[in-house]
Amino acid sequence: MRTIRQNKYFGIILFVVALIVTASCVEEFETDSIKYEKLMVVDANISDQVKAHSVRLFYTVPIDSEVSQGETAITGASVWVEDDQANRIDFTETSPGTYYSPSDFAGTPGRSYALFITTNDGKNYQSSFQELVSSPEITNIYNRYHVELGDGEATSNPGVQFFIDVENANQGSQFYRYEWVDTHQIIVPYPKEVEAVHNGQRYTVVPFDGDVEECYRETRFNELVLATSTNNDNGQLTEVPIKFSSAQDFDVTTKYAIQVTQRSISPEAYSYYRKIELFNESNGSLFDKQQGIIVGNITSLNDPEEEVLGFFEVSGASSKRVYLDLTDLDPAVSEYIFRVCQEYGALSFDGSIEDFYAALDVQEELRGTEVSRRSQFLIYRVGYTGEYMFSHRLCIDCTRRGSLGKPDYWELD
Amino acid sequence: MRKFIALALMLLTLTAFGQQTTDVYSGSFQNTAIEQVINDIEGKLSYTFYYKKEWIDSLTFSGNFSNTPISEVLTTIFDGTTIRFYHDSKKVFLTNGIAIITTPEIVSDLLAQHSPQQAEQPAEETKELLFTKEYAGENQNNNDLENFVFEVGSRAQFEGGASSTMVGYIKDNSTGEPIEGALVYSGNKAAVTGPDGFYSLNLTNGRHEIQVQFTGMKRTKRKIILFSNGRFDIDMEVDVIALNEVIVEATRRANIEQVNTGIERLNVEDSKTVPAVLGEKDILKVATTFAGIQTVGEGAAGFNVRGGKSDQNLFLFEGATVYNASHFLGFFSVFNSDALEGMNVMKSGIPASYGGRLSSVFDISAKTPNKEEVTVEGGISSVTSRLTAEIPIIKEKASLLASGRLTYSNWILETIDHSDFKNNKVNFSDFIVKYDHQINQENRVSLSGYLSEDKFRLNSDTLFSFSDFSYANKMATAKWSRRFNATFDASLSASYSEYDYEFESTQLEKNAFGQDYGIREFGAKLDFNKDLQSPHQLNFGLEAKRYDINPGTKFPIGSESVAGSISLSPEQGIEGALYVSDNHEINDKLSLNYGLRYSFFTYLGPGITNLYLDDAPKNPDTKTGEIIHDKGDFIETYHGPELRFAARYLLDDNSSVKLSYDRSRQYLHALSNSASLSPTDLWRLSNEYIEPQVGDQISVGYYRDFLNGEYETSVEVYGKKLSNLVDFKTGADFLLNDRIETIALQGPGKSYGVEFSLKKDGRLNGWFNYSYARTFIKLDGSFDEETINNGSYFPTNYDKPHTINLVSNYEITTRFSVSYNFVYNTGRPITFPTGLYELNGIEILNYSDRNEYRIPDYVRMDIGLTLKWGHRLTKGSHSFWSVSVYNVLGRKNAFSLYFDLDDGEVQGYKLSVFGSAIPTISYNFKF
Repeated sequence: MRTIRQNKYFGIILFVVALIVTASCVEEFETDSIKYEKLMVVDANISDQVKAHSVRLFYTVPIDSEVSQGETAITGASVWVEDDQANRIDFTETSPGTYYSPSDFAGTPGRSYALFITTNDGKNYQSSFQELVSSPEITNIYNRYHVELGDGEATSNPGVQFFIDVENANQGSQFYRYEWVDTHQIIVPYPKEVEAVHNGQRYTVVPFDGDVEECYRETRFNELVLATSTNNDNGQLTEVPIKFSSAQDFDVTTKYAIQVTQRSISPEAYSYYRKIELFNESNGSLFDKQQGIIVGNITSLNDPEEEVLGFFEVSGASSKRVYLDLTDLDPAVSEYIFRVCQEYGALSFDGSIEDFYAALDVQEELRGTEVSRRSQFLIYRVGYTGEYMFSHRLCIDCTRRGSLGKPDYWELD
Repeated sequence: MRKFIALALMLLTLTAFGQQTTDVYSGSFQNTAIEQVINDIEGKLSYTFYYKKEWIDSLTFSGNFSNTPISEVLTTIFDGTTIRFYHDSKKVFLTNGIAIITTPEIVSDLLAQHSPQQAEQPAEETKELLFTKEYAGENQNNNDLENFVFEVGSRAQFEGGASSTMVGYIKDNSTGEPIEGALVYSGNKAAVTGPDGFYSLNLTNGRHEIQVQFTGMKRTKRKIILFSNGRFDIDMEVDVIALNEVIVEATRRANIEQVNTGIERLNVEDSKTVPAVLGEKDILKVATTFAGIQTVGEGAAGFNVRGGKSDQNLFLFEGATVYNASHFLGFFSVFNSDALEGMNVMKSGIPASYGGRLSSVFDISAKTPNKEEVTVEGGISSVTSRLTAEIPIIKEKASLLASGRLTYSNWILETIDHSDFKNNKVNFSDFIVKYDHQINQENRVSLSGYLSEDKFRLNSDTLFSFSDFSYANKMATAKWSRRFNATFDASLSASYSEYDYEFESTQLEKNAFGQDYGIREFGAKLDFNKDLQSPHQLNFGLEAKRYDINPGTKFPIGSESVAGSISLSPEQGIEGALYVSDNHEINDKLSLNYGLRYSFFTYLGPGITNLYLDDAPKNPDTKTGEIIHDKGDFIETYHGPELRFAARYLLDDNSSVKLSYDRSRQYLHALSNSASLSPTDLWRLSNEYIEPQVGDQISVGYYRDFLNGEYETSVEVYGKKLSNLVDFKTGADFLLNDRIETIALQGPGKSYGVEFSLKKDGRLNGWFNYSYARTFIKLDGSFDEETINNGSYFPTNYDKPHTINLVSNYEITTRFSVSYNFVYNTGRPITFPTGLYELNGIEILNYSDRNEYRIPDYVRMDIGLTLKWGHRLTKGSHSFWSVSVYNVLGRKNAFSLYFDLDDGEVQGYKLSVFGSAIPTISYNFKF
């Protein structure tokens, strides 16, 4: 969830005040006094992609606790989806509160679907019918140099902004929600063969057996990305901003992939998400939208007063993944990417490891800098003549910036 | 007593009107201007002469004195001229052709009793005005005009026990300008001067002490004997020394006399010593220290008057509507106080001549420029520099006011060598011009114009928000006032107001777009005042307005942009009103002011009415069709009476009770989905779905003065019932929305409260008030999406139950004063998150019922020092420095609370606009 101070007006006020007196301030505030309201949440999503679609049933948690708490799951419910021809797809609970459809299920474009829930204490819930509209293809994913400003403290963060274009955006529902997954491939130039172990007194060099040469780092969207083509003359979507990647994310990346999934959703779903987006942009200014409970398309059949959160989203989905070398990034960003392994390279040293870190081989006046530089280094190999080979720690062990194991999809699609 | 009689006898035997003293004078003159002779006498003998310059302008004197007694000197100087004099110790009063008789009041009373013929005689002889010297109180006053007894009317027509009407003009003696709004009163009879300074007061024949007061002017009084109907003009002096005389002054006596509740006049001078943030003296900000006038937060635009919404205030500048009264989104008002005369704030008991908004009227008037000489005024504060000039065009007849104010923040920004600030631009400016022409005693024309502009350009911190934003107010007014006779006058005015804003988002070339909004209002008003002599004073007239609104257009910027154009169909409407009111003095104690305003509004074509399913919420899904209206069609018409009633009953000399009831109708609504008024709010008209807002207010008060008016106290209780307040469905977006009815909600509101107020005059002056005020709204539609908080009453965003204001100023010397402010109020309501959940991989907060919580209470103290130079207006320029510390405690008052989610953890934040004490120094001058 972003904490960007997005509101312009307040930006102006803060700016003006800061300019003149540097007086405005933000400080933390105790949330203890706020009561907790326990409401049912339905996180349900079906699409025209063939897979096990999931429905998650759980309760809200107090704001001072973590979301990922198992005890809020609503277990033992009957969950099914019906289409407008009364075909029923049952969902089965495979982990507490999470119900899956059969793995060969895919929604059919043109059909409408509704979600039905009967909890184990006999309460019935139902969503409105949502039509599945297939999604047009994403035409293009590309990036452009961009500087993101920080939280008003005049910090700026150079990087690349990823955009998409959709030529036939008017062929879908015209309302879209986007999800993205990106992957950094990290192949280190000096995979470590040995490591130095400090026994409290001195270092001893021992062999290292693991393979830490090739890793992948995957991140997923964590904020809403919405777009609509209803306001555009030519029915296209152009330059939809999807994701910003900071230049420093690419410090040891050897190849990069980003997958964008476009979901063609109903206008109702769009306006539901839009409200959530607006509230999440809240920054305390008086120009914030009036906040309040956002109720989706699920209602209680037993108690119409009961407020049920969440949404049963029915979407046509299309995905596109692109692979990029660093040279495929906007050239303007390259000067901001600190290529650690090229900058630091590798060093060979004839003396002891202790001497290496103490930098006794360097003139005294330069020693301080060199000591702090070398503190980044680790040994990775012993040379043929017994000299020690050192390199920056990020360049000898890929697990520092990623995880082992190539993803299934890597360069297959 | 014996002394007086002896003196009286002596005086009656005098042939020359004057008084013997032992002062002697020497001097030699050859064709010297008499004024110079006077100056010489003043210098040598420490005398003061009182006279009008034009009487002696053409006179010269030649002759020599050597230790000549002063009375002989005076007789010699004025021998052969029309000038008569009256001499008393160190003071000499000159008159032009009018004889002066000094008869001590008590003596004349005695004489009147014992020998009426003798007492009558001097008056019979002089026929004209008779000056009578009174000894009582001589030592208390600087201005001896106050101690003369003037006779008004003709003694020959005197009728004991009957009453007569005294009329006249109140003017500023330095500029010759009539003073509007001055209070003229005697005992419990009072009158307020009109725009041309004219007053009319009905009194029983006989002796009266007439008091005149107006803020910024020295309070003065005249002793009169009223014989019959007659005219009596009074000149007031600018209260230059007492620059800080506050409100107390204006409402002295008005506190208990004024018939209407809840009306206050604020003069610009009042705002000078009130410490203001960043040193911008601001008449509107000062108004927020009055009981019942609040803002949502520090630096928030828009006022909430007695629980009213921020769009329910009618801001008038020279009679033209002001749609956005804030610069910098709320930190400063759009008016440069130097160019303003003052402001009337009406929060209840609103006269029938005003209408169109439910909660209040802020009637702001520009200065009438000086017709005698050029004056220039200006100042420098940490935000702006400002300059105001008053220029006579035709001496004593026509003059021009020109005033401008600019920020120099742009320049500061340019000089900051930091890439993040480089491309930012933040500035505002405003300009006022006014031309005033007093054609003759009966006719007066004034033209005024106003322009304000705010411009922002910011380095966008994201790709999603706009980068350029600007808004502007434009107003113009022409007014012709005519006095037909002493009891009948009229004014005709035409006004134009415009408010526009525009923002641009050009960060993404292919999606670059601009969006704008504009409202134009044309108004005309014809207003009559007829004094039917006691006890009725009528005010009646008619008013018409036309509105043209561009509710929003969106357009692509640049040839690369694929952004679509959207243009909402323009809205237009006409509003009219007829009104009549009567100020009815039933007796000395009971006075009524009742009136009726009948207003109507028509939403005009061309336009489109969307039709919706009858038993479904209005939203795009339930639309069934539309009706297209042609140009000029009356799409929807609303009308209704607005009753205004106010009564005052004097309990005794120092206390009164008042009651008022008023109803108002509002056809224009600011659509605002945020807690405060924002520049992007849209003013939209009532239409077939949005009904007019209607408000009723009852207000009762008890008023009491202590220590001869030095302390004024009041308690007012009010209750309001409002209907059709406009609010919105949660999370609604109304920008570029052609179907406002699908997102707007209307519901009833109620407000009530009690206001305690204390004002003090004197060296230690200022005011203190405490208000308890509540305000609620109910949004109970037929459908879930049209219902907020289960359809029950809930506190509005601006419901702040407890408010304390203290504004004080202590004049240590005439040049040096200190001031202190204290403000406390309950925190405003806010909606808090009460739960957390995850949906589609995104963490989301769930919120409480609307306005279920409150932000912490607000407490602030300010201190200020003001130091003046050259404080005598007659001695060229004067200037003052003010130093103030705003929020001296450095308290981090919450402006708002908000919540961020970070890796599944909710963190609450408190945002403070001013998190520390803010010292400011500003310099102001006038010459």
